[in-house]
This record gives sequence, structure tokens and C-alpha cells, in this order.
Amino acid sequence: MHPGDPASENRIAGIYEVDFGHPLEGVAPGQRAFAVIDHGESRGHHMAAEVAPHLPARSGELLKFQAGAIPGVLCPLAHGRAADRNGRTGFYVVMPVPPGPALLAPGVGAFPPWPEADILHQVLRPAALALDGLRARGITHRAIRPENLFRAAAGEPVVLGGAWAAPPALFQGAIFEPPYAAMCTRAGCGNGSPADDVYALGVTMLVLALGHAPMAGLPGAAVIQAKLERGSFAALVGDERLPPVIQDIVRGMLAEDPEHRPTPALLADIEVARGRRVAARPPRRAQKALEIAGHAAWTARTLAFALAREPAAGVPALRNGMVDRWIRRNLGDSALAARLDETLHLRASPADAATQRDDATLVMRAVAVLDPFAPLCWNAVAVWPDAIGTALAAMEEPDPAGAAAPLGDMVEMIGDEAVAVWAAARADRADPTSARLDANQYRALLRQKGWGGGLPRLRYTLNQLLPCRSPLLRDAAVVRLADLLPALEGLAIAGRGFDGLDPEIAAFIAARGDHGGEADLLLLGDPRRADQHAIATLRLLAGVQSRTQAPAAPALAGWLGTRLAPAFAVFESRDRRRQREAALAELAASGRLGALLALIDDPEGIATDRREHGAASARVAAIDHRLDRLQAAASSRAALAGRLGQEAVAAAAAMGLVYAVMAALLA
Amino acid sequence: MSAAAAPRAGGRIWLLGLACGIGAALAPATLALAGILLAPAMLAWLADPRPGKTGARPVILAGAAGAATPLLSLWSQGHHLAMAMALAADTRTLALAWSVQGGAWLAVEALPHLIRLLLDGAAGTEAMALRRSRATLEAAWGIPRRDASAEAGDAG
Repeated sequence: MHPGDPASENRIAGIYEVDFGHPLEGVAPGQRAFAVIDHGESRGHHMAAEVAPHLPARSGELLKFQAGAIPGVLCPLAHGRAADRNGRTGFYVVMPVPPGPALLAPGVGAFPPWPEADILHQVLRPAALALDGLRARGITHRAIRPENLFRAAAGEPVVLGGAWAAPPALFQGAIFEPPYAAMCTRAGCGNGSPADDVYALGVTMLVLALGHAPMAGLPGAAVIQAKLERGSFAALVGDERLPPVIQDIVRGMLAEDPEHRPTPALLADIEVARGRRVAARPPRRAQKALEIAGHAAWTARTLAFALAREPAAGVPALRNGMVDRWIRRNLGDSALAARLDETLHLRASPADAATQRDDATLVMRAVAVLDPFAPLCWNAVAVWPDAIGTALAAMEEPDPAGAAAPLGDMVEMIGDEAVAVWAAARADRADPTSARLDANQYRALLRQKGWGGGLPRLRYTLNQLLPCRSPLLRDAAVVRLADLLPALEGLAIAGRGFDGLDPEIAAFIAARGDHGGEADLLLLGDPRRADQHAIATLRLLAGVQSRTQAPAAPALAGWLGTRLAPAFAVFESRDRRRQREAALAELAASGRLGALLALIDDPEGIATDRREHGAASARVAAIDHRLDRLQAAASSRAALAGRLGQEAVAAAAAMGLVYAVMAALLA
Repeated sequence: MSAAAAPRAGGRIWLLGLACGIGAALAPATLALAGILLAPAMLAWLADPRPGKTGARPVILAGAAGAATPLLSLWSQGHHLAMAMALAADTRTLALAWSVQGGAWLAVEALPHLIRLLLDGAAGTEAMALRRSRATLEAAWGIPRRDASAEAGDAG
């Protein structure tokens, strides 16, 4: 890499150049991908998957992959920004190009079923080994489906495709995810567990064995309903026949309880995997369905799903005892009814007594008790706590499916610390203490006043790789704090409507910085103190430049300089103002914001100025006093002159008299 | 003049008249010579409107200085009225005595004006220096100017 060379600067990690003229199809389903020119020593054959601006890449997983590649997976090699020919900068994750085509091209309906041996040896075993490698590193894949499994040629083992340039399970269809993930709000699935990857692998095997995707054409909610009602395996297989080995293994892989699914290590040994039996009981089915807003509930989990989908209709049923009666009489599960009753009424602590009355809380607790695997369901939001950030980011952008984003519900959920209440309602599957700490933190950030708080701050805090959403930086993909100053400098050079920081940029700095500028962020959010905004902006940006060791920003400094001249009004000395204004122009040209700040934010200089101003004021007061006295002394001067004149003449006359007498006597 | 001061002034006139009478009886020559030589001083005393006759006193002192030599000559040469008249008739003696008193009167009238001019000049110079200092401070520190009435007063 040659520093300063624009071509080099546009490379990811200094060696990967995105070849925008060479798009790749089918290598990163759901995302755009381009070929990569590798300028490193390895000269590998790589691709760059584009990260959507509102759906951040998986920062934690990208970090974990820095320890090295895992065999059988398209591991991320690097990630970063690259500008296309039009100057639009995007964020990309560089990965090896798949060894061959995907097992299934997107949109393929039916195809010849795969032989059992091929599924077991070319799909299950290599995928299980790869998943075990991921599990050992604490990584989940969450994008296992036939379109995202690749192999070099027929007979070759599959390789897991990339899953790092978008939130987990974002492009997974409802059939490939367990119900508790499929029912989540967009980008709300979270990282999940290796068991969820096992589930998706099981469905993939099922699809290959059947020669078509089951439940094709059904909406997601119907798929989830069927899985909850009959169990995933029964719902997906239906009346179709599977090879016996596949059937045995897939049945276990699709167990409802993630803890009942085989581990990836176990699946790698096909004989052991086949010999493993799942002892899970089928769900208890009611004699008569309970209708919630037209949704028939036959099991406790389908009731939970109905309540999650129709909370408004579910609240009366919960409050008037209809649900309790149905569970006791029709479902015959008095233990569950007692647990539900206890959770909804008795376990309310004084601290959450206020929210207990809230309908959303009521439904959320009921869902947590009725379906212990379900995510946090708050009105229209269904999300796993670790996906609150990605769901929030996705909600603030239009959904391609046209669904209304329940942003208000999400804000209410965070404001009411629903995560803590939810974790307390399912304490056997969650850690209420850490959930409460997280909930407190989220709420504090949401309620923080000024430009350093609120929804944007929370969004950037929870999504380390989410680009800044300022309209000014729309095409700049400012993901890291270090990217911010060069982008702002570019705007200042171009003069494209840059008029200082906006709430998005401020929140971005607050989230990515070291929490040192809270006072300035408060200032920026206060329109009554507009005169302080320029200096607050300078302080924040100087901090960014210092922390990120960003290059000089002369255009930005010049822009700030023109707005900072009034800040010198703090100095009373006109000479000092003139000197500093001259120095300001000089320092602005250097582009060092810290030096610019030191010129203005100079407590010692201000103290000296105030001291000297005090002395000058005292001197002026003394002058005025003396002038007043001179003016008042005009009449007294006349009297004095008269008296002095007479006395002087009298004295001279007296001396003359003495002289005359003496002279006469002596003569 | 107050009502209490009028009897005092009247008393002084009576005392003065008594002194003149005693003088005329005991030393008529001296009184005559002094009266002629100190005539301007007596006029100044009568014409001086100042309280305490502060303007006439230096004239009287100057007249006394001018009359001292003739009076001593009178006393040394026999103290006769004829001698007094001769001395009073001496133009040089009379001119010296009267011119001294005239000069004293002129000085009493003019000197206060001259001194006032000097005092006002010094005050004006000081005020100008102060205003210059103030203007420098105003320009350096953005201090407001003195209000117009004060400026006019300074100028006056």
C-alpha cells in the first residue's frame, strides 16, 4: 500500500480492492456482491458482500473471526469502506468466493430429491464440522439454507456461505427458522444458539431429501402456526416420505426445545446422530380451540403466538379469566394455569407494579409463560434482547415488504424496561440480573437529554457497525469514528449544504466516542444557546480528531473558523481579539482542530483577560472620578484665585511697609 | 448685612470717629499728613464691597508703606502742621504714596484673575491627559464613552 495514493486508500484493509465493474450473482443471497482484486501476497479469489446502510454487519462475529479462518465456512477476511465509481461509499465484508454454485438457486421450485448418502456425506457431515468449528469460537451462522450452501462440484462437500454482512437470519425464510426466531420482527432474531443452526441445517436436509421446499407459498405466520401446532418436523414433512436415516436425524434436529437438538459435534458422526432418540413429548392439545381475534389456539404455544399477534384482543381474554379457564378445562394443564396466574398477578414486585397494569406487559408475561421458547413480545414487536439494536436499526428504514415498522412499540418497550420484566418472567431461561442491567442502560440512553441521547444514541450504541444516518453522510458509509472527520472534511470541501453537526452525527460521536462530550451534546440540543453551538461543535470534532488521529481537516477548520469568530467576544481586550482572529485564520489553514480549540477555549487566557479588564475598568472609574472632581472644583478654583491674589498683594505690601519703615529708621 | 452686624458696624464707626478726634486733638499734623497720603486707601476702603474689606486691606498696607518715610520725617522734624502740609504738598512724596496704593489696588483686582487662569489651565491640561488615557482604554477594552453631559462638563 502506498499511503496517500487514492487507489490504495480505497482498498479494504489496504489490500482488497472492490471491483465494482464485476458484480457476482448468487454468491451472497439477499445482498449485492462484487469481485475483489487482492493486492496482498496471497492473491486469493475473493468477493465483497455489500452491507445495507440500515442493516449492520455482525460486528461481534467479525471480531471473532480475527482469530483465523474456520474450515468449511466462507469466513470474513476483512471489512471496511470502499467508494464506487460514482463516489458513493459503501461498507463491505470481504470473503472468499464460494468454491462453486449454491445447492439451489433462489426461486427454484422442485428438483430431483438428493440421494440419502449425498445428503449425509456431502451436506450433513461437512456442515456439522463447520458448525462445530463455529461453536468452538462462540459464533452462530444463522443463514443456513440451500441457497447459501456451496460446493465445488457434484460429490464435493458443501461449504457454508457468508452470513456476516447482515443481521442474523435476516434472509432466512420462515421454514428454516424455529418458530421462536421466525416470529421475530425484522432483524430481531439475534445471534441465537448453535441449536438454531442445527435446526436450519435439518430443514435444508429435508428440502434436499424432498426435492422441494415444504409449505411453499404459505405466509410466514401460517408456517409458524403449523409448526407450533403440530411440531416442526410433523408440520414440515407432512405426509411425505423421507429416507429412514434422514428422517431419524432430521426429527432430532427439528426438536422444539433447542436443548433437545443434537450438537454439531454429534451430527458429524452420522451413526451416533442416527442412534440418538429425542424423548420430547408432543405438545398437549386442547379439546376445543380458543379463538383470539380469529386465530385458533389448540396448544399453549399457539395461544402464546395468537396473543403475540393480537395483543389487543388477548388482553380481555387474559383479564376476564377466559385464558385461565381454557387452560384448566380444555388444555387440562392446571400447572401451567397456576404458573400463568402466579406470573401475571402474584409475582409482581412493588418496583414493577406500575407496569403490571399495562396491557403490553400483561401480554408479554403471558406469552413468556405459555411459550418458554418465545421471544420478547411487546405489542407488535417480537424480538430477542440481543437483537434490539439491529431491530431498531431496521425499523427506522422502510421495510421492503411494506410492513409498518412498530417503532413506537419498540421505544415504549425500551422505556418500560420490558427486557427486565420479560427475563424475570422466564428466569429459568434468562439471566434476570444482566437483563435488568441492560434494560437500565438502554432506558438511560433513550431518555438522555440533548443530542447525546435518545433513539439515535441507543441505535449507534447497540450497533457498532451501523453507519451514521445523517442525511449529510448518506453516501459516505461512516461506520467508525475515524471515518467521520474525513467525511465531514469532504463535505466542507464540496460545500454540499454542510451546516454543522446534526443530531445523528452528534449521537454517532457520543456512541462511538469515550463519553467525554456530554456537556457539549447537551449544548447542541439547546436552541436557546445557539451562540455556543460552534464552540461545542469544535470541542467534539477536536476530540474526534485527537482520538482517531485523523488527518488535518483544513476545510472543516475553515468552516468552523468563520463561525467561531464571535466566540472571541469572550475576550474583552480588543487587541487580544484581533490577535486571536489573525491566529484563527492561520490555525484553520493547518487543519488541526485541537490547536483551534486551544486558541478559543483558553481558560488561562480568559482569566488574564478578565483580570486586566478589571484593572482597566478600575482605572477608567478613577479617571471619571478625577474628571468629575476637576469639573466640580471650577468654582472653588475662582475663590482660591481671589484669596491667593489678595493675600499675595497684602504680603507684598506688608513687606514693603517693613522695608520702608526700616529704611526710614536707618536713614 | 444682618441685623446683629449693623450695631457692630455702627460701633466701629463711632470708635473710628473717636480715634480720629483724639488724633486730631493730640497729633493734628500726623493725622493731616496721613489723611492726605492715605486718601486712595480710604477711598478703596469705602468702595470695597467684599466682606471684611479684603480688597482694601492690601491697599492700606501699601499706602502705609508709601507714607512711612514722610511720617517719620514729620516726627523727626518737629511734628508741626506746617511741616505736614509741606510734606503733603511735595509732589514726589504724594505721587509715590498714591501710586503705590494705586498699584496695590490694581494688583488686588487683576492678580486673582491671573491666578485663576493659571489654575484653570492646569486643571484643563490634567483633564485632557485623563481623557486621552480614557480614550485609549475605551479603544482597548470596548469601554463605553463618558456621557455627553459629562463630556461637556469636562470641556467647560
